[in-house]
Order: sequence, then C-alpha cells, then structure tokens
Amino acid sequence: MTRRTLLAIEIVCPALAVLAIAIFTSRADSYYFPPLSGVVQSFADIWLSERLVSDLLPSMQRMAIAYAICVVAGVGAGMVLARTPRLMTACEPILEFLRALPGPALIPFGILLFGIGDTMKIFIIVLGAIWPILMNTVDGVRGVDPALLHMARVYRLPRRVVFSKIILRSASPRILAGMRTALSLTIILMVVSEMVGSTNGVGFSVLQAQRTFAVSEMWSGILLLGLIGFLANLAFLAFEKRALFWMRQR
Amino acid sequence: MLEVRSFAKRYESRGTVTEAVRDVSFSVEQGELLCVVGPSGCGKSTLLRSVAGLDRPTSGEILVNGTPVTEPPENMGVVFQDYSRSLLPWMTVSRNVRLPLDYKVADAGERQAATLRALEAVGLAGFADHYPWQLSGGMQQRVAIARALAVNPTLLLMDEPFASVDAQTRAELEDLLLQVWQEFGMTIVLVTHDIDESVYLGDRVLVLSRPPSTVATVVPVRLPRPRNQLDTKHDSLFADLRTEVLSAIGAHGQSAPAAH
Repeated sequence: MTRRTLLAIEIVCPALAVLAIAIFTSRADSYYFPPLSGVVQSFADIWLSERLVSDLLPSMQRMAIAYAICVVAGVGAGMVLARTPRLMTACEPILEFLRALPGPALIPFGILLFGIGDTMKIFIIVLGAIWPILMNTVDGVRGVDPALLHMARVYRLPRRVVFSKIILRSASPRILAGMRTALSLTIILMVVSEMVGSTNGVGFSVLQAQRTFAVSEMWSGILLLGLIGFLANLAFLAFEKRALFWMRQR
Repeated sequence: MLEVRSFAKRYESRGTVTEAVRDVSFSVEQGELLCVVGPSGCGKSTLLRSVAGLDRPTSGEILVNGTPVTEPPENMGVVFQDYSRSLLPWMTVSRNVRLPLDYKVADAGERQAATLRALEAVGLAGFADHYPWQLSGGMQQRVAIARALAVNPTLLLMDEPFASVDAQTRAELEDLLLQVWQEFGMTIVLVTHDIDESVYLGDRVLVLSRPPSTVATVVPVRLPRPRNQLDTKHDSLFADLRTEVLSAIGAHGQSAPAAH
C-alpha cells in the first residue's frame, strides 16, 4: 500500500467512528449517551470559556510542574544511581517496592500531609510517575557503550562533558521511552487526584458534572481529557523524533 | 619515545589466574611506525590499551617520553577497531573531530583550523556536515583517524584499525595512513592480525608469542619508502619478510593464523 492510501485509511476510519457515534447517540435518546452534538455544544460552552481558566489551566499547571519534577529528578537520580553501583544495589529493593505501589494508594497520605491543595496533587503525580523515567535512565546509562567511554578517557574529556554529551545522549532513547510512559501516568494521576480531593481541575469538573446529573457536561470533560492525552502524546512523539534524529538511519 | 619494560598481565577470576602476557619489553623511537602482531589471544590489544592508559599492567612499566603511564597521556590519539562505536552519531563529522579540541585548545579559530586540516588529511573536507551514519564504514574510520590527527598527537595508537572494512577499502586506508604519517610525523603503534599489513606498513614488526606471551621476535622491515600496494607487495623482500613474520608466529604460536 502506498503512503497516501495508508494516510487515507488513517483519516477515514476515525471519521467513520465519530459519525457512527453521532448517529447512534442522536437516535438512542438515552440519558447516559446524550447526542454528540449536545456534548460538543457543552464542550464549547464550558471548556472554551470560563472553565478554561478556572479548571483547565490549573490542571495543566499541575501536570506541567509535576512532569518537570519527574523528568529532572528521575533523570538526575537515575544517572547517579547508575554510576554508583553500590548505591543502586542498596536502593534497588526499595525502588522496586515504591514502583510497584499504585500511585493513587498514596492519596490519603498525601492529603494528610499536604491537605487538598496543589502540593498534594503534585506529590501524588511525582510519586506515581517518576519510576519509569528513573528506571529507564538507570538502564540507559548502564547500557552506554564502553567504547564511547574509552574514547572520552583517551581524549581526556572533562567529566561534565562526558555526562552531558555522551552518557545522557547515549541513554536518551531509553530515557525518552520512560518519559513517554510517565506522561500518560501523569495525566491519569492528575485526574484521579483531582477527583479525590480538589476544588477545581478537569477531573474535579467531570466528577462534579456527574454528581449534578449534567451528563453532557460530564462527557465533554471526558472528551477533553482524551484530547489532552492524545495531543500530549502527539507533541511528545514529535519531540522524540527530533531528539533521536540520529537513530532513524541506523 | 615509548618504552615498555617487562610488561605482564594476569587476570584473576574465581580463584583461577590466567596469565595473558608474561614478559614483553620493547621500545619505539620517535617517528617510528611499529606494528604488533601475534596469535589471537596473545594480549596485543591489552598491551595497546595499557599504553593508552586505559588499562594497567599487572607488573612492569610503560614510559611515554620518560613519564610512567598511569592515565591517558596528553597528545595521544587512539583509533579503535570499531569505528561505528567510537563516533558519536548525534554529532556531525566535524563536531566529532573537534570534540577533543574543545577542551584542549582555547582559541576557536585554531580549533577550526586543526579540524579542517585533519579532515583534509583524510580526504573528508567535503563531508564535514554529514553525520557518521550517512557515511560508509571506510569513511567512518577516516573520521576516527581525523579525530586522532586533530589533537596533533605525538603518539598514535591503532587497535586493528582496518579489521572491520573490506579488502579494497583496507588497502586505501593503509595508504592513507602512510600518507598522514608522513605529513604529521608522529610515532605510531599499530596492532593488527594481518601479517601483510604489518610488513607493508611497519618500520619494524613486533611478533608476540601465544599466551602467556613474550616477544617472539622483532623483524626490521627494510623495504624502501614511499611504499605502494603494487610495487612493495611484489618486492621479493616483502615475501621474505612476510614468511619471516609468519614463521615466527608459527614457531611460537599453537597454530599459525591466516594472513587475512
């Protein structure tokens, strides 16, 4: 199949699915499945006006801050752990336990510690989403070709350069894979933490709409969350493609 | 220039001691091209790595310009066998070549000039902005050679530098090496498993015995320079020297390895 045919299928299939949903919901006359047009209408009414600032923005802010902390702390700690095998051996069981712990399980503790503010949510997101980045960084750094490190030693490259230009870059395919997993975890934990204890946010809005029987509104929030995840992933893939340009031709 | 005294290397794992190199001593004159050959497993790469300061001998001493080697010496270039693993794929050819200079030479113009000179010397001036993976294997190895030349080394170490390329490219790279050696005038120690190559390139060929290795013999190569693939290899002296090296390996090795 040619590229053009594939692209056509890629566009036509989702379009057909949307059409099917529109037809189904407009005829179903169901309380649970309001007409798609109604959902889209309430999406425009709610999310493109006042809630953009009151709920969407706070959610995105939490996500961005938490994700940034995950990346910086995860990559930093991963590099240190990978380069100090003894520390890694000491920490590994604890890390494995923390990684296995479901993020939302810590929400009660988070609320106890920080109340229901932003700090709690960021705490929950970071504690739940940092692990793929940290573990992949460790793997990536351990997997750096010794030949590159020999080269660096022979030419007496300074330590910081070896870290930034060789080790980090060499490990970047693994790190980025971890960052992608962490991105979807970040969205999940953002929603969950907002549903459990919050006064604003997209997750809060969806739950609130359901509790006030505003079903179209609820669906519009779900639609928004889907879009956020989809677009975030799309943006990430574009970034990854640029960052790993050197891997394409190998 | 380079002096190796009673070099020995033993490995210990789970209580068993493997003696790779027993006693190897030799010296290399300023500007000389020494080839090191020997049966596989004779520790020739270990020896080179130790001269490079990447490994330590179990006993013995290595002196570069009278200074004992404890870490990679300054003004040394190294070309490894596996070009694809020693170049950075996320940097262009010229960035790869310039990388060691960035932390060695303060003046940016000087760095640029040295990079360009090195790329010109290996015939890659037109590929400065390419990435290594856009080049053939032989060209990638030229980049590695250029990187070594850029630091203006007094000592160039090469570990089976042409083992991973096809025969045609290999011959080209051999001639290229002789050419840059003449231009830059550094001392070269080249490890190879190819006897023809060692005779074709070297001023002397150091033959190691099978492990635990010692120096089997040192063969002076009295072939005239400049050498070229056609005439030099048809010289009857070339055949004699080749036989001499081969029999030295044969007498001291378990089985004589093939020339290629």
